[in-house]
Amino acid sequence: MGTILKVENLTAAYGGIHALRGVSLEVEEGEIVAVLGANGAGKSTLLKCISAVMKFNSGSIEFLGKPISNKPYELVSAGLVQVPEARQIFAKLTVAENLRIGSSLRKDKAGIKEDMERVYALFPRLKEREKQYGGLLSGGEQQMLAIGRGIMARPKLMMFDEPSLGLAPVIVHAVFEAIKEINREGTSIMLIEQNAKMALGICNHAYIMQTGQVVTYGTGQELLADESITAAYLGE
Amino acid sequence: MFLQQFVTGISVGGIYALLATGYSLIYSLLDFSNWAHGEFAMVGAYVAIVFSTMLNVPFVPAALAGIIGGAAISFLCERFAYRRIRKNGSPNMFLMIAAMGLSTVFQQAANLIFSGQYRSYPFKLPISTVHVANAYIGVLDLLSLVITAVILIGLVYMINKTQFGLNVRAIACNAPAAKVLGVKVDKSIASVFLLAGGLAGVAGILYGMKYNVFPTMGNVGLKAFISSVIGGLGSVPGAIVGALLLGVLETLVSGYISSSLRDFFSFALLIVLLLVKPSGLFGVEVQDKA
Repeated sequence: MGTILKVENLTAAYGGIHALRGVSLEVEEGEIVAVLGANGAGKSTLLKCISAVMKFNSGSIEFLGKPISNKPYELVSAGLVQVPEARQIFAKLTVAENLRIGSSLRKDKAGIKEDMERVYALFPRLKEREKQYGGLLSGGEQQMLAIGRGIMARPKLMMFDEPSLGLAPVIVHAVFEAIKEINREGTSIMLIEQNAKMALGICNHAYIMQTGQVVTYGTGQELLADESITAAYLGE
Repeated sequence: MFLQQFVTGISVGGIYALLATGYSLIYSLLDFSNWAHGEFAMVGAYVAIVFSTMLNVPFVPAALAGIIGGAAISFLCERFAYRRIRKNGSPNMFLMIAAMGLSTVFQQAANLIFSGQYRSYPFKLPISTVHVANAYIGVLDLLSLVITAVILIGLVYMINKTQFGLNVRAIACNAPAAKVLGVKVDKSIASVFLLAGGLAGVAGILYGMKYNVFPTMGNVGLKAFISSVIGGLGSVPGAIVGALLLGVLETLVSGYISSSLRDFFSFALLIVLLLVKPSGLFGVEVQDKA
């Protein structure tokens, strides 16, 4: 098992405001790694840098031992795929079409079909609503669709940006179960979350960020057990 | 009489549709009105004139050259004007203003190079007619109708059934998300401009065969705009239906009332539509959920 993602000493800024001040973290192959922290801690900025949506100032990001490309489609074909914040469903595309966007760079028809079946097995609701417009789904169904769309790219590392945001607790539970299942099937996971308890419950390791820096690192169980940490950094 | 008018209307509408679909695709991707779209048709028409009358190339290859010319000018406008404006984060209004500028530049350039005179293709078939059920239908109208139908069916298939079409629809829906998910946004936009320019080239040549080729013929782009508004801006099937409807209505107005009222009618229709139903026939809104 090697390192799939390695971020070293990353700094990034919006105008003059430093959003990341030297962030380092690693995701090992096969792991679920959580990145936690309150609003404004720099979690989303970190994800934007990793997915080449935003330019960083200094430091490095390596995926599978190579510096990441600055073109999102090259990242996706290399196996680095994200499930974006607020789901970003294509409202005027059907469920099946949304999924086909996830596999837009792939040419292996048989494999695409197979993954479509995998998604439908994981989320039978999506199969039922295959022909409906994405915009007509409920929030939870849209989250399932966003995850399914990520699976369709056959990722090596899947990055989730706040998957629990705005969802009812029962749906959040289902979403986290799905993330665990995807991980069991062999995909490494990076999970950006504000819902610290849920994330710590399923991750191998977690990084806690505050004002653009990593302040604490540990296994999910360690951090979950340490109440001073959850109280100090996660506001619970 | 009515059948004759109707076929003419559909064939004129088909030419509008070739322009309106490309215009609509660009509008759906970039959210701006490409006022240079009619000029893409004009450029295509002149390229075909140059090849067929000045270089004595047979008409069909000359027409193909014209289509390529329309595609090329459209591609170049995107590559060197619109893309730069998009990338430097300017408001969409700038794209529209750039398009207006390009439109004037192309018109004036055509005027300088070719003078304002009306030119026609050395292609005689159009004058003949066929006799169907008491009506005389122009061969050009029929030819134009068949060509347009084949192209539009192909286009609708491409938009709805291929991965390219799907990518284009995804970009139209949410470009940043499509980009993050691996869709090659710039490449897709460039391909759409090539396609839209090629369609405009076909329209320009068909229009030129019917009404001659002249520097301001690109004003027919306004009809594409009206067609798209009728059908719902940004909708390709809407643009086709809108264009056919406009073509038939215009022909009926000029046939039964007066041909000088044709454009008056079209623009009056545009104003009424913008007042009464700005979303058009196919402008159905599907809401994003939070």
